[in-house]
Formats: sequence, C-alpha cells, structure tokens
Amino acid sequence: MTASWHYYLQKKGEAPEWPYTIRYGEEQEIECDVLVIGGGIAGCWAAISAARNGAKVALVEKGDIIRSGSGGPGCDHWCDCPANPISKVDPDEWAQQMMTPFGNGIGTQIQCRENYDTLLEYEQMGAKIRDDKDEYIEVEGRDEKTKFMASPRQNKNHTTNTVLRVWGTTFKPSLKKECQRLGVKVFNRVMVTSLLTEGGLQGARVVGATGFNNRTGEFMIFKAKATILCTAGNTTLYLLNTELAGYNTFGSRNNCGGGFAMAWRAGAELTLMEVTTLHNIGSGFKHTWYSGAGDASYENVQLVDANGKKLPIPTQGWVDGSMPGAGKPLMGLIRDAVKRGEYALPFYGDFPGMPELESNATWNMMLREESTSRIIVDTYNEAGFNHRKHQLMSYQLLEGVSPPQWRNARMGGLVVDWDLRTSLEGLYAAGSQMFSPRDHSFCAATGRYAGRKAAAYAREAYEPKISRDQVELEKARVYAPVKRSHGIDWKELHGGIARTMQWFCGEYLTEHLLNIGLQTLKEIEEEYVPTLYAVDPHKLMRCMEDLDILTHGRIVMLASLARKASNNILNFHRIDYPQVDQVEWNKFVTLKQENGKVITGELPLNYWGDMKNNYEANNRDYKGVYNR
Amino acid sequence: MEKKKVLALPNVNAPSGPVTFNPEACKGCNNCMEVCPMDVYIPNPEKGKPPIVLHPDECWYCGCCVMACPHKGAIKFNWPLQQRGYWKDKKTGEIFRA
Repeated sequence: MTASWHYYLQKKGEAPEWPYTIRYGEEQEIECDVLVIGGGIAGCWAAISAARNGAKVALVEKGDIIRSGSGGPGCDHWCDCPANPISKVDPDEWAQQMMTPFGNGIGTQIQCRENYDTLLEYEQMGAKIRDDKDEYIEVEGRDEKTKFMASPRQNKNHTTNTVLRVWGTTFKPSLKKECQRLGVKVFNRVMVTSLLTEGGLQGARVVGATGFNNRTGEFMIFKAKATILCTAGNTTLYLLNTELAGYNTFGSRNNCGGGFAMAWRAGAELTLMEVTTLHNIGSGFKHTWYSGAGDASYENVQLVDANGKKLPIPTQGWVDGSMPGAGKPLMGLIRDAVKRGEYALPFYGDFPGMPELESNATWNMMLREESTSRIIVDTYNEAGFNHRKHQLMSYQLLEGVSPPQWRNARMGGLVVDWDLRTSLEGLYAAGSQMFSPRDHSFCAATGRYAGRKAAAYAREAYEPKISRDQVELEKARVYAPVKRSHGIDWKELHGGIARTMQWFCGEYLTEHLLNIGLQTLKEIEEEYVPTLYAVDPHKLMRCMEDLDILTHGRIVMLASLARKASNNILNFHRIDYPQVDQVEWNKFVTLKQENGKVITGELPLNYWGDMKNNYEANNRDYKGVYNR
Repeated sequence: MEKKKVLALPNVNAPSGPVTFNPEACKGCNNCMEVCPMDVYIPNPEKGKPPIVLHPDECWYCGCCVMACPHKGAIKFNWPLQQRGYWKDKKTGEIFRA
C-alpha cells in the first residue's frame, strides 16, 4: 500500500493537519560549554569527546542523530588507518604519502595518528569492527589474531593493510547511545541558521548560535563558550532539483553548505572555495550505484562484457589494489572498442567468477554490513539476486557521462590551526567543514580531536555574552517566509541558483561570466528572496537552506574571481588566465568578510609546518594506542 | 463503475513512493519516521496506522527507515523505476530486474 499524501487526501477528502504544535516566534535558550552544530559523524564524535573531557555539551542536528549525515547508513571502509596492529606502514610516513598538494595536512595527520584510537572507541560503544564471530575465516586479508579484515584498497599484494573492512551499519546508532550515556543534550530536528558573535560584530569571538525547530518552528538560542561547526559540505549547489536524486548524490539535500554560509556571515576565513568538480558519482540522474568500473564499491570484482570477455579495467583487488579505477583515457579506448564490436554491451560484475569466499565477503560483508548500500543489497536479494549465480549489470557507457555543468563544491572549507580552531575565537571546525576534507574516519577522528580542544578552551574561557540585537535581526530573517502565503517557493529559488552556478561558474570561467553570475545572484536576492514563502516549519527549513546555498554560491564565485590563474591539480581553468600551475599561485587563496567587505588573503600550501612535529607539540598530553 | 468523488489535485511528485507499507504488519510505531534524516514522513492522524509520506521528493533512498523497522514485512523499500538494477544468470543468460 502506498502511504502517500495524495492517497490520504483522496480517501479522507481533506489534507491532514500539520501534526506538530506550531511555535513560531517562541524562544528556548540553552547554555552550554561546548555547542556542536551538525550531528553527523564529525559532530557526534565532537560531542562525545567534549563530554568525556568534562564539558557540558549541546548537539544540534537537522534530522535525528541516529542515522543522520552522509555516514548515517554506514561507513564504506575505515581508510588510512596506519596505526592499526596489522598495518605495515608508519603512521607519520603514511600521512605524508597521503598528502596531495592543496590537501589538509592537519586533518590528515590527525586521521593517521588517531583514527585507530577512534575505531577502538567505536568498538567500546558497541559497534562492530572485527570478525569476532568467525564468519569470514580464510577470506583474504583477514588476520586470525586480531580478527581484523584488511581491504585490498591501497593494498596491492598485502603491502600496507591501512584500510580495514568494518561493520559500518552499526556505527551511527552506537554514537547516539554514547551521546545519551554521557548526558550530551541532543536537539534533533533543529536547523542552526546563524552564529552569534560578541557584540554582534563580524570577526569577534563566537558565543553561540541560533536555530529553529523544523517541526514546530520554535526559535532556539544557544549560548556557548566554544562552538564546533560540523555540518556537511554542499552536494546540491549545481543540481536543479531533488526529485530524481535517488541514491547517488552521496549526500542528501540536507547537505547545503549551511556551515560555510553562517561562518562567512560571522567573518571566518575560508579557503579553496573556488574548487568545484564534476559530479561523477552522484548526479542521481545516473545509475551510479554499482555502475562498476571505477566505482570503488566494485572492489575486487572482475568486470566482463556481455559475452563474458574480461575488460581491461582494474578490479582494485589484491593484485591491483593500489590502482585507480578506469579513468577517462581507458574508458575512451573501451568505448571505441565497443563501437568496433570488440566488446559487447552491457558489462557485468562477475561475482560468480570469484572464489566463493571472496564473493561472500564482498557481497555479504563489504556491501551489506559495511556500507551505505545495505538497503540496496537487501533489495537485490529479495528480488532474487544470488551472487553465486548472477552477474550484476554495470551501467558504464550505457548511462553516458555527466555533463560538465553537474558539479559539486566539496573541497572548500574553513581554515583551521592545530587546535582545529578557525580564524575566529571560540569557533572550531571538523569533518567536512574544513577545507580538503576526506572520508568517514577523517570526520570521526577530527571531530573527536576538535571536541577535546574545544573543551580545553571552554575550561579557561570567560562567560559569553549574547547580543540581543543580533538575535532579533536573525529572528526577523528566519520568520520572513512564513509571514507570506504566496510568492516564490524554495524549489524554484533552488533551481534559479543552480542554473546560475551551472552557466556562469561551471566549466568555463572568465571574469565576465563570473560577474554576470554574481549580478544574477544579487538580483535573485533582491527581487525574489523577499517573496520567498513557506507553508510549514519543514518548508521553512528548505527555504533557509536555499538562502545558505545562495550565499555559498556567491562565495564560490568570489573565490573563483580571486584565483587569477589556472591549476591542473585543482581542475580550475580560467580562460582569461590560461597559464597553468604557475609557482606563485601554488597557494591557498583565502576569503573572509570584515564589516561586510570581502577581504582576500593567502596561505602557503604547507602553512601547518612539519606535520609530525607540530602534531606532537600540540598534543603532548594525548594518550592513544599509537606511541612512538 | 462505482461513482467516486473526484478532487482537484496537483500532479503527484515522481517518484512518489520511496516505500510501501503493509497495513496488516505495520503497527504505526513511527520508528521509520523518527529515523528519517529528511523528515519524509508525518505521523498518521489515525493512531496505529502507517505514517504518511509527505515529502517523497526529498528522499535520498538511504533505506534507514526500512533498516529501523521492528515489524517484519511492514515496510518495503521501493526502488524508483528509473533506477532499478539489472542482473544476468551466468549460466542461462536470462536477464532479471529488481
């Protein structure tokens, strides 16, 4: 039976009433030592860690922390874990090796030093990280002593063992339980819309935040000695709508760059905001789940053509575990060969061609227990798929390539120091909120680290004071859409912003195009935003998200104007500055606001100094499993 | 044909049914609703009945609602038509679709 609203309406003859008591304008004020904004992986870890360090913690989340965030359904491999006991590499050397130009040296060092400690704590909270029930004995990569299962990823011929297979579906509920056990005050279904600063001034110490409940509309004021931003990046900036997003966005509509927007308004410094990349996995209009070939989820599975002929695409398994997937040149050659009749479409992942132990481990453990794909595996299984008999279709070539206008803007973020403090006093950042973020274990380890540092700051910090004027201004901004009953709705606003980004800040970058884009966003803000309307608190949340998306889009355009050079590593090509990889532009370009004026700056690519020495100098009291 | 009152309704969002419910098995506990990160559901005004899918257009098909259901067979993941997967029997060559 469908349970749609339309079905209900037809049956009952009237729409159901909004199920929650409306509390527009009513206020709730909360005081805490550490406020964590965003309850995904980084946020839950930050809250737990701050609470363990003695802080009174409030954790605010738009959904419910039990499954919210990009890592809510699961964790696709515990990557870059060189401190684990079966690892064959040195953590500090591995951190160096993982560093790419424009990477995040601070976060990467923290990940490599502390994510094994983080993983062990997951286990203490009840999450499953090893094959303790002996279900996968003799599977390649399994260690009998520790019962850890190494993944073939970055592990050609077992030379590294830095990536572990984990039971990621157990992770998020264990974090919620631990938050509750520690007395973290969790505010589910609350969207934070602004940071509060001392005296309401841009660039001053951050003293809390405001938000509203997306079911009741109640206004929330959080007063905090320290605040940690842990919201998501933005996966929707360039996508016109949500309807066909399906699985493949690798992030939900909730990921809307809200943290960047509120940090920008508060005066924090951001970097790499100009970097946007092709949305290969995840436009959602593509069939990307298990399109195979280059999709790491097909790890260890041979791709074959319709006649069973092996394709020359790395399996990313034990014999070629350090190889990247099929890149553009290789896929181009295969495409030509298909047209000549040398390979027959469609392609398949040849699960039955694998040794039984390995296909069991890939299908039942890696894809079902570990990752965000459990529901997909269950759906296939229920429909009759049997990985011992059946080959899974790959949609490579059939689905075509993503248009260059479908992009994401996930590489930019806040500038942080060795305390993961941003440029503003009292404001910390972790996970996807920092520039050049990485994966699940990066978010977990940096969240945990930021929680510890913010708690230490809060112990010494003086009492915060909130500016009532700042609260009133934000209240007026937030409730404006519910005072109207017609005008422009959030979806049309979103489409307008996304189209502006696609056309004027996409594959082709010139000063002229970017200026048209900025002018268009300004017109949208001045002419259409004042007519934005919301019929209930949920749609009000989507409206406020699109205002954040608008701000984020503007920052991306300003940052694109500020980098007056092209760069191959960043895949950033200014047609009016065609020279690539000039030495003088190998730097972070930074942006912030001072009294509403945009200030650009720069930082050297290794502004954090020596990764190992500075990590140690800043963490003398830290007791982890890994000690040199 | 049975006479039926016809209401004036806008088009339905597509895809509109990310899940289907079995009203016999569903106890209306609303676990699925509380787990959903997007707030796709609202509670049914009738206690004990499956929740109502109010915002199907915001679903990202994470499946957490289905994973959280304590009543076997009460809720079923409904893969959007344009995104269903195919497979082939290696021996017979027969092609199937989820």
